[in-house]
Amino acid sequence: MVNEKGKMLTLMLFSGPYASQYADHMCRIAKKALDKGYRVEIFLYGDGVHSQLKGQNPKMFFNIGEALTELTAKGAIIKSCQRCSGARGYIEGEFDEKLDRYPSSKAIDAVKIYSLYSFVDMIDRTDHLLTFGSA
Amino acid sequence: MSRLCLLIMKPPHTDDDMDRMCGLLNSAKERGWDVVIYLLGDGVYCAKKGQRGHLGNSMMTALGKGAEINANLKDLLARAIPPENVMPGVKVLEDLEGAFIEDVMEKASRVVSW
Repeated sequence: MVNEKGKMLTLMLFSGPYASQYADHMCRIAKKALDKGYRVEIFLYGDGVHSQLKGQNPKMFFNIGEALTELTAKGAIIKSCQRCSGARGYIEGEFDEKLDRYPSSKAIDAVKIYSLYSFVDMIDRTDHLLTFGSA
Repeated sequence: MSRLCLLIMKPPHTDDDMDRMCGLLNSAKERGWDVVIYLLGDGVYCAKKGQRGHLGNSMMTALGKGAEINANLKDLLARAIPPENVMPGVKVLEDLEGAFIEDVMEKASRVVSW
């Protein structure tokens, strides 16, 4: 079942992975929504952008980087805030029109670093917004 | 009828968010809304029986106002809270995320998460 219901859920993550369970909860809820046929878009903001870090290797916890990659494979669109990513050292140049994202060798391919204005577009499209963690 | 879904992922005594939750619930009930609360992760601590103080009893307050409360079984068990130690009236669900998504996407007018 892939996105057959047409309704959309937007999830915004404020907290980084492995400091709390917010990223885990967000990924599990996103997976459940996709499995039930809803469209899912995710925006990483503040410390939430650390969920895009390439090479995460938690020994005992749910791997958030892998979970985001799996969500993208299931149809989720995942973007992270350009300013938050830049402040945390993820961005390595100007917006790349061809890649349709700000360039980063440190971020997983599943996540596109984008302007915060793209979050406004998500809000415009969505049926419901859920936030995870606090800014 | 309008329906408010509240997703709580934090324990009751960390800050004053349970006060905010009760305020929101009161406003919703005064307007005749249905209110459904989902307790996930550390949020299941809110459902533990025998707590003292108004924050610890926020779920009892919510039940008294007619809210429906659901707690996630695997999160309860992970925190050594067996279902018999959950406040009476709280439903324990094996697939809380699934029930929550169905509710939010098909029934809810508004959803708020903590």
